[in-house]
Amino acid sequence: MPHYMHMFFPSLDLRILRVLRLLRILKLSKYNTALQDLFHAVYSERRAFGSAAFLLLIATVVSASLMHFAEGHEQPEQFGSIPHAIYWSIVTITSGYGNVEPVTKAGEVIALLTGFLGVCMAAIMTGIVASAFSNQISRKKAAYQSQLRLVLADGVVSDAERESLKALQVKYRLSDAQVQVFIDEAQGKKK
Amino acid sequence: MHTDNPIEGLTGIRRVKRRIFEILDGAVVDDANRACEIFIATLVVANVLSIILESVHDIHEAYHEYFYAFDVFSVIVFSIEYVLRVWSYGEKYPKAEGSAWRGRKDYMFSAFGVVDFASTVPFYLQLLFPGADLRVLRMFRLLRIFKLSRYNSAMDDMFAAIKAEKDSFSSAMFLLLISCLLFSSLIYIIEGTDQPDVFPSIPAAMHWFILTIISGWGNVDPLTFLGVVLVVVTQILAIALAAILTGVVATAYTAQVQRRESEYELEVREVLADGVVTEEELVKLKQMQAKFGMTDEQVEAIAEQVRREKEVSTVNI
Repeated sequence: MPHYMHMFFPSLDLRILRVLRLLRILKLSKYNTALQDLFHAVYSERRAFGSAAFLLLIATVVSASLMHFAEGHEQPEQFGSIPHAIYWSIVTITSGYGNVEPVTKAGEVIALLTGFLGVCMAAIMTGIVASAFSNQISRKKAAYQSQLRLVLADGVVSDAERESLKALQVKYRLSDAQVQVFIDEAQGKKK
Repeated sequence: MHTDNPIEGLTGIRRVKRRIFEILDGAVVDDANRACEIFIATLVVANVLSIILESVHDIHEAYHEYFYAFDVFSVIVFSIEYVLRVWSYGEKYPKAEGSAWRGRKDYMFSAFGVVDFASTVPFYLQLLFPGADLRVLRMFRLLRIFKLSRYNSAMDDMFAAIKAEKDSFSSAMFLLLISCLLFSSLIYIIEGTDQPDVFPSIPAAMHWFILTIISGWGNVDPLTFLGVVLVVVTQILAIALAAILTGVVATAYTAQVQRRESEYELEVREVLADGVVTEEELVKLKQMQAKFGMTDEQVEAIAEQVRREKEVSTVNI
């Protein structure tokens, strides 16, 4: 598309067109279920992410304001207003070490606490993603198992049923070893 | 508790009190309750924004009457809210379970009650004693941001997850404390004589240790070989600590989600047990799904599994 646009409007900035061409890489994502899995996992934990974002917001505002109250007089060009201090607070939360050194004792304590809060925020975010993934995998396993049980219930495994199990295995990206464990389990239970 | 709508049978002032309690506490969710929540939450957000903007000198100079008027308005609203809450929470428990003051005490000494009180009252103190330090007052005003957490379950969820995994959390904290004491003492002993200006005492070394743990570099370069080893070990420890914290949080969340799913599954099983799904049961399941924030897919998977299990068990019989 950008190619055609360039033909019609030759004066357009070439750099923008090049950037738009980069969007083509997104086409690949159509063929990749991993990316979809990621979105699903994140979506199913959206409430947890919302909560984490809320905590982050409160932490930023509170630490920035405290820093403003503690250091506003000593370093007016850095902490002269809360919006300035918010920039410092975000830098400290994300990187652990702010762009400004505190000069008062109270400021030092607040800076350390803010940095530690950053570590906790990273842990919370990572933890939520990890748990979302592991929950998704256990859900898939459960779905596969119930399908397997259904297939084995009548004692006969038809070709069609075998096909559908195979398709499910590919879709959920389960390894053969895992599937074998499920089959053993299901048969053991029946006996 | 609220199934047989206790508002019936009350008269006059008690009826009003009961209704105010319902609206403020959110025990019964309806339009009035939601409108009240939205109003208070919006006011809190506006307050926080105004505190932030007020700190910018130029804006404060230009509009300070407006800021003051807004603050007065907010204080009036929050005061009314506080008084109404204290008054109406007398209705929290039925007469048989304790006097009106039991519910009131519950509220006044809960975290929310303290926040409501501490974020409002300093304004009146300032009227009485005009000489007070303005910064302290602003700090108390900032407490209003925590009023928001009443309408967001983030804090509750977080504390519930931490509580469920409190052993792991406390052992992680213990590890941190021990290594903080050990490493800052060691660095003080090793580098204290070479760099007396950065490691003059163990508390100063602790400052260095915490900086290293949170950011990976404590803005001091070691001079001795042993010091280098210690710094490297501390940095590795920082990564390990982050990993431990992450793992603990992940486990806590996974456990929480699984608890919710199994609770939901139990409910589905109960609903399907008699073979008939009534309108009422459907509504209940829907409510549960909304409360747990589960996606339709999750719900569908659980329902499908339960249904299949039933089929399989009937075939087997």
